[in-house]
Amino acid sequence: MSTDPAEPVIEINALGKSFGKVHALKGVDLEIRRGEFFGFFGPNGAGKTTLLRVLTGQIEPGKGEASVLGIDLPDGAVEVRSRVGVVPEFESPPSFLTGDEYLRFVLRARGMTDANGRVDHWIDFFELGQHRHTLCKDMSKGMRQKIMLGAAFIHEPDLLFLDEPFINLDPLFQMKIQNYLREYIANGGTIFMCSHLLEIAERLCSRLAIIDEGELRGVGTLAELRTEEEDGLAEVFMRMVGRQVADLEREVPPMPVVEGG
Amino acid sequence: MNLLWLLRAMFREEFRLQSSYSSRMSTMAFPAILAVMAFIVAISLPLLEDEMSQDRILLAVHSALLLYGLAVGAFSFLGREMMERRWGHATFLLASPQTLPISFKYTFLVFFLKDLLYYVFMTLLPLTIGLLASIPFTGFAVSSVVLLFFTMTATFLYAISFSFVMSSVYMRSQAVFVALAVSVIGLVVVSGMMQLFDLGLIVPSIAFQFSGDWWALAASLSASLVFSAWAVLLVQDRMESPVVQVESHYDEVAARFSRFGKYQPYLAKEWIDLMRSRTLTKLMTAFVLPLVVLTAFDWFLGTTVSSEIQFSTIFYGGMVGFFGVLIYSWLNNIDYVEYYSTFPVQVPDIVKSKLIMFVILTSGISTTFLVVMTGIKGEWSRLPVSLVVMFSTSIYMVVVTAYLTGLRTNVYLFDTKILSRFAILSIIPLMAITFLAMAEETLGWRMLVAIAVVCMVLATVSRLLLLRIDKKWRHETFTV
Repeated sequence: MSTDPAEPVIEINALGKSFGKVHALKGVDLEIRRGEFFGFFGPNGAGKTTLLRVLTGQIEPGKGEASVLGIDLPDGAVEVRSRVGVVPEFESPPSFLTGDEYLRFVLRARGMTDANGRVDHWIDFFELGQHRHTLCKDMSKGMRQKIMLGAAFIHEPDLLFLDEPFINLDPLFQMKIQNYLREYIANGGTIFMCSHLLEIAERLCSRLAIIDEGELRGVGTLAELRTEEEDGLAEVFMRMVGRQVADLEREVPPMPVVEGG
Repeated sequence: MNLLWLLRAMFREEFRLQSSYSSRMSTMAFPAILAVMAFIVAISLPLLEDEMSQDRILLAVHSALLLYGLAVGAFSFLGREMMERRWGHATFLLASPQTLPISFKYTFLVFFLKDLLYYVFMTLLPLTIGLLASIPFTGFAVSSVVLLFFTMTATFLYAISFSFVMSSVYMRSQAVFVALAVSVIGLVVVSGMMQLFDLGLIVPSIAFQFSGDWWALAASLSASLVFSAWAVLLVQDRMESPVVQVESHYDEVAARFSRFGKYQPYLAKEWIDLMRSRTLTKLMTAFVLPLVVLTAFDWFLGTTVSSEIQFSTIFYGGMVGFFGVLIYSWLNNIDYVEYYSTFPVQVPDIVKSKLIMFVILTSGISTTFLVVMTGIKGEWSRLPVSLVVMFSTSIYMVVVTAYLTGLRTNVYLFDTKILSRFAILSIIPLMAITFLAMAEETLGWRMLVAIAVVCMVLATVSRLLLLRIDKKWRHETFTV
């Protein structure tokens, strides 16, 4: 793993992506350097997952340019995915493999074998010993999320793309994953994370961006983005997406009367 | 929840599901393409008249609908699969009872009605319109085309009702299912051997087709009503699956596929999927059953009706190849593939691993089937040609299917453009082989030369399409 902090690992220039008439990304420019824990935030449907999918070569950009680890997308999609770890939006490991088998499958698909006991390590880390032979389709959502996290970490990638990594995890494991991610960064790794959990993100991220309706509203450290009156990321987020806390605190309008109920 | 409202909502859901994979226009054009195909087939019928009587063609149509209905009617079984895994994060109205105060019996009943109407309007009606349009060229009587529409609908209804009830029985008790299936097959075999009754008694709508006996139609509709009511009553209102723990043995399975290079990890995973999901059994049934039905049909006619033509093993070679499409379709239907979007792999790699698995699965079974058929029919001299035909058509059909539909066979075959290409690429060689196999006595050695030419063309096209799979599917995503 290279540790040159000046080295950009993700470069995006005027990136656009549309789905039919919906413009999910509109001219996004971004540079993320090695060793950063980069948080990417925005309301539902703002374009976060779309950008993550473009950067991991899952979908092709419509306009502009993007490269990851110096590899141009979309042509180098397979090479990018061979060097990064991805936790996707949905916790969906294959139905008929056990957790143990899925991790072995991931290793083989990456041209590796379990010579160093990596599978045991991650099964132990996630405390899945009792469930290692349970079919993924029969696991709880939390267990499936742990398997997807293990599958992203197991080959020790240079860069992690995490889409809501803490979803469905209990508070103990949220803490454990946070500690692991801090250690990963300390060892020279880079993280690009989408999340709605602003409190956790505020503790972890070294730099962040906020996107709304496909456009970047701000990029920088939390200190650079916040005003003197603002306490934390939540307030910065609300301002940048054009909402006020007061809007949300207004009285909930009365429910309409349900007929025939 | 109002039945009509739910029915309409399910129609919209089905239409949007189909449209989401291709386009709205394409989905709407699907029935039009079917109508055109029916028209073309109808005006081509005089070419077959010397080899096949009109009654025989009608029987073939009803047999095809019987198989079609049996294949799409296993709602109780497929319904659970839909809710459990195949569609990843998508949720369907069928699963509404999990969160709303309605029963699974009710949603399955509406789902059954929706599918019946959907298939009648999207398939049978367009076919009938195509036949009606051919009247100026074929001279068919309007009344006989209309009669055919009603008998086709009755046969289809009979088949999906039967399939629905059998799948409901299967979900309740596999032992009872096996007992029932054996009884039904036994009934067919005994009736054929003893010449106790004809095909029309087993499938009453066929009797109505040929005799116009209204009692036969009434019997068909009554049986369908009983089957579907029984099926709905058997639907369980709690869909619970036991938590399954198994012996993890991925590395051992992978070792068996070591000679397949970069496809090794995916083949091992496919194999485990096949075994654990019991798809291997279902898949073999889906592959072998149509062939067995075809054989039984041939044998049944041979023993009960004076038959002008027997199907030769060369014909069976072509049929085995054609039904191979079903296996590829099943391979694509075991599980969702969204997780591959995090792997260093592209869609063509997974398509090719499925093609390799197809060859592994079908080679032995197809060869065995053909050898057994050859033995039964005592046509050993035809076996070498039949094997060449079988392998050529098998490889050709599966490569065409993979090239046209990638990893979403069931879905893309509802896309009008893709269906049209599939129809052109499959029907022409299939008709050529069928015609040549049936005209063996007339053509003599020239048939062998013609078959050799057809097989060489199929092999060449297979090779070309295989090479183009990379280019065609390289930019496809794994996510829906």
